[in-house]
Order: sequence, then C-alpha cells, then structure tokens
Amino acid sequence: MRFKGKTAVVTGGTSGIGKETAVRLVKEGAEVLFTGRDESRAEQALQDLEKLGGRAYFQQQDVTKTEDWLRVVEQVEKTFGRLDVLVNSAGVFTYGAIEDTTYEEFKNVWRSNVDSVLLGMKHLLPLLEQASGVASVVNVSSLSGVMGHPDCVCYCTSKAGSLMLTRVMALEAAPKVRVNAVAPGPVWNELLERAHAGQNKEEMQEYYRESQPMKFLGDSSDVANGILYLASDAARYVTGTIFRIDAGRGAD
Amino acid sequence: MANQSRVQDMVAVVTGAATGIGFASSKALLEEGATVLMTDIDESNLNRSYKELSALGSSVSSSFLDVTDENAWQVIMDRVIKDYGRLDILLNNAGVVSHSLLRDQDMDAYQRIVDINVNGVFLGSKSAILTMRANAGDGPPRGSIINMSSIGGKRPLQTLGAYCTSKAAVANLTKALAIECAEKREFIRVNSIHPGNTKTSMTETIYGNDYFEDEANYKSVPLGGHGIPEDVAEAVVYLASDEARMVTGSELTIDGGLSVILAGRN
Ligand SMILES: NC(=O)c1ccc[n+]([C@@H]2O[C@H](COP(=O)([O-])OP(=O)(O)OC[C@H]3O[C@@H](n4cnc5c(N)ncnc54)[C@H](OP(=O)(O)O)[C@@H]3O)[C@@H](O)[C@H]2O)c1
Ligand SMILES: NC(=O)c1ccc[n+]([C@@H]2O[C@H](COP(=O)([O-])OP(=O)(O)OC[C@H]3O[C@@H](n4cnc5c(N)ncnc54)[C@H](O)[C@@H]3O)[C@@H](O)[C@H]2O)c1
Repeated sequence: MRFKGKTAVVTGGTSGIGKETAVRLVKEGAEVLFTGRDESRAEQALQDLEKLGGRAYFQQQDVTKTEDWLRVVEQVEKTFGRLDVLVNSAGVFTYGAIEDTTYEEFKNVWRSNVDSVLLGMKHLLPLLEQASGVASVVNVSSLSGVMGHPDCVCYCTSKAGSLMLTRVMALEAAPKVRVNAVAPGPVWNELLERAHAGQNKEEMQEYYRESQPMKFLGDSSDVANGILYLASDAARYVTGTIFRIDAGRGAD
Repeated sequence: MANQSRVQDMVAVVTGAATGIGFASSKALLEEGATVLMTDIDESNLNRSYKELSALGSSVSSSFLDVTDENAWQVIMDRVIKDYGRLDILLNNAGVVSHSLLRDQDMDAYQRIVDINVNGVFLGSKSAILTMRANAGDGPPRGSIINMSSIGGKRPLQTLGAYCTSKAAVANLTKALAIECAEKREFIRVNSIHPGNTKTSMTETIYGNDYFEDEANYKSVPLGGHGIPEDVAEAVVYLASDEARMVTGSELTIDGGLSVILAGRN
C-alpha cells in the first residue's frame, strides 16, 4: 500500500495505460480522480475501481481545453483539497509520411500530447504544492520522443516536446513537486488494438514482439509499474528523469 | 511495503555489500523476499553488516570477493549454484573513486578505478550471464543484472575525470550487454542506476565527514538535500523484480534533478 492516504489525478483514465495506472493506484490505497472524454468507457472503469473497494471519481475532460482543466481543479479542490500525484497519460498516436500529413493534424497531435501536459501542470501545480509531502507528476511520453521513426513526424515531435517539458518543469517545480516521465516502447493494449483493427491480431503481436531487442511484448501493466515507482515516495530523490520501458529498443 | 515480497525466492549476489548502497540494497532485497549473498573485500565491515542482516532472517550469507579476480568470481558462482541452485539477480555495486584533475591523475589510482569499476562489472556480468544460462532449465535464461554507474557516467564532474570515465563505460557496457542477451532471445535484463550525491562512506571520503551537514554544498540540487543509500535500494528492488520485466538497457537516475542542470551547462 504505497499510496495509502494519497490523492491522485490520472488523465487518459478511460483506457490503456491511464486506466491500468488508476486501478493500480486505487489498489495501493490512493483516492483517484480519473478523466477522459468518453463517459461510456468511464462507467466500466468506475465499476472496476469500485469493485476493488477503492475510492474513485470520474470527471469528463478534454485535456486540450483550459476550461476543462479548470473544472478538474475545482473538482480536486472540492473532493481532495490538495493533490499528491498527477499522471498525464492522455494522448494520441498517429503515423503517416509528411506529404500525407496536414498542418491541422500536426497541430492536433501537438495539442493532445504537449498542450495537455503543460495545461495539467500549470493548473494543478498550486494544489500539488499543498501536498503534505513532496508531490509527484509522471508524464507518459514515449520512446518515440527519444528516438525518431520514419513516417511518424507528428507523434515523435510531440513526444520529444513532452520530454523537455518534463525536464524544465522538474526544475521549476522543485523542491515541492517532482516531475518525471516514462518513455514506453510499444505495449499491447487498446491503443495498438485500435491502430491495427481489422488486421490479424496474433500476427500484429508477433510483429511487435519480434521488432524489440528483447523478444517480449508487454502490456499496460509494465508501464504502470514504472509510473507507480516514480509516483511513490520510493522515488523521493528522483526528478527530471526520463525512464525508458522499452525491452531494450532505445539502448540499441 | 515490507511484506509485499516483490523478489520472493529470488537469489541475489551483491558486490560491495559491506557498506553504503550495497548494504542498503542487500537489506531491501532481503526484506522483499530474496536470498542474498553479500560480498566485499572489506572483511571487517562485511562481517558486521552480515551480522546485522542475519538478525532479520536466515536467507543471507556473506563471502569475501574481490571483483577484479576472475577466478574468485567462478568460485562465488559455483557456491551460489551449490547452495541455492540458481541465480536471479546480480548487483554490480563495488566501486571506488579518486579525486584529481585528469592532468594530475596518478596512474596507479587510475588503473585501480578502471580495474574495479569497469573490469569488475565486466567480470561479474560475464560470470552471471554464464551461470544464468547454465541453470536455465528448459526455458530461456532469465535474470536481472544491475550495474551501479553514477550521474558522473552521464555528465562530466570536475576533478572526478577518471571516475566519470569509468562510470560512462559502465553505462555503455550495460546497454551492449542488454542488447547482446536480448538478441540471443534471452530474458536476462541488464540496466544501470545513476545515483547523484548519496551519503555513504565513499562520498564522505571524497568530500569529508561534515560535507553532508552543510546544505550550502548541495544547494544546486533542484530537490535540495542529498540522497541516502535507501533511495538507490528502492530502484534496485524495482529493477530486480518482475515489475520491470520489460525494462532492459535502461538508465535510472536518482539525483534530485542535478543532471538536468548539468545538462543545461554543457
Ligand atoms: N500503447 C503504447 O504502445 C504506447 C507506447 C508509448 C507511449 N504511449 C503513450 O501512452 C499514453 C496512453 O496511451 P494508451 O496506450 O493508454 O492509449 P489509449 O488506450 O488509446 O488511451 C488514451 C487515453 O487518452 C485519452 N485521451 C486522448 N485524447 C484526449 C483528450 N483530448 N482529452 C482527454 N482525454 C484524451 C483517451 O480517453 P477518451 O478517448 O475517453 O478521451 C484514453 O483514455 C499516450 O500518451 C501514448 O502516447 C503508448
Ligand atoms: N555515494 C554516492 O554518492 C555515489 C554516487 C554515484 C555512484 N555511486 C556508486 O555506488 C557504488 C557504491 O558506492 P557507495 O557510495 O555505497 O560507496 P562505499 O564506499 O560505501 O561502498 C563501496 C564498497 O565497495 C567495496 N569495494 C571496493 N573495491 C572492491 C573490490 N575490488 N572488490 C569488492 N568490493 C570492493 C568497498 O569495500 C565498499 O564496501 C559505487 O559503485 C559508486 O561508484 C555512489
């Protein structure tokens, strides 16, 4: 129970890594407010969390919108009064060569993956600073922000942006708030299922497994494990770190 | 956290386990359910530390080991297999430091740093990989090797040139081994930890006993204050455990944010 008595906000909590992180935080004792746009998926997540006997709340939110963040702030003030943990997991994945990429699309991906993180920290920092101990922010970036891939200019650029945002914010928010990022390689979850809908699932999993140095294809829990370490007081001397969870891909 | 047993029934060898980070890591692994063989060249501190941990439970043992001695590694690995039948975790933690400008560097001290910090990690990793392979049974070999680098392995630190050189080598050796094992379709994970200012006998040797009493000495650390060996031990447990089954060739930095600032100066 590393998070007993702690309060947390998790964006992207309706699916994938964010959902798994919210569940794990609740299991380890935290009270969690999770957000997302899709209320119907939230129902399921909320039921799962309540089954665990934990305290979980949902707030509908578009992470690219300031007014939605202000409503989250209001909700956190009302429900928790302060904040110990913020996990920015909401994000979108796209690919495509630059000639097929519109400027509008580029800006949308940037808004979803970078503006979202900036807004989250900007608006929740005052509440994080009121935490009884040192509060912790974990941003879910990507290995694609560390190394580039062809035909992936929007996503790679945005994820590199969120990594630098993490480092700068680590300096600005110290010493009251720690700010770190995880940089996951591909993990099999809702995101990849969606990206490869209509294709043969076993073949796609095999493709991703074989494309890693260590022939292992993880799932959302592998990323959540790293997020929980960084979010917990076990990492009380860790800030500004970018931690790869990538089966060795980024070391190659 | 103590009764979560995150490395239950795993067998670990820790080098430089007599004091500091090696001792704290041995303790944390033991508390999380592992069997731990503590090794060091400093026999008197090793004995004292071993006694302290054996009061916590019976699954700890200790042995003299100079990490630069290739034959001694073989003896240690034979003993681990004879006593416990397997090896899951190796923490290559033994390390030494010398304080000097590179242009004034004493060559004996330099050679000692390379022998212990780099060659010791090479020998330990090689012995562990061979042992993990030989005892894998039917499935692919598995295990977690954790190498203690430093923020000095990522950024140059003034008057610690030889040390930084050795720790940068450890960081890259780690990645090379991670890829090598992965490409053999093994699940032997190899990662490095990069501590910043951590209060141990090593840093007290470099900076003097009262260094850590004076906040002014680390006012440039964004989080303020200094680390303690337990901060590093927490990372060791995470990387050793199955929670990190997807983590290999990674660096974990525990420095209060100091390297972010140093990067800015480069
Ligand atoms: N899966 C991977 O292999 C992988 C690898 C590296 C990095 N990542 C990163 O991990 C993070 C989480 O991804 P995932 O794998 O968990 O994907 P996912 O299952 O598609 O989840 C994405 C989440 O983000 C939310 N979201 C997206 N845009 C939003 C917006 N404008 N406002 C509010 N919520 C929004 C979605 O909720 P709603 O639809 O309900 O709004 C959903 O809960 C992302 O940042 C992704 O880039 C994933
Ligand atoms: N303390 C810090 O601030 C800091 C920062 C970054 C990295 N590190 C690294 O962490 C590791 C542990 O350091 P520590 O701070 O706990 O120092 P420490 O001096 O307390 O421990 C080092 C141990 O290594 C042992 N050792 C030295 N030579 C050996 C050899 N040839 N064979 C076997 N054992 C040997 C010593 O006897 C000692 O017990 C080192 O690799 C060090 O470089 C420490």
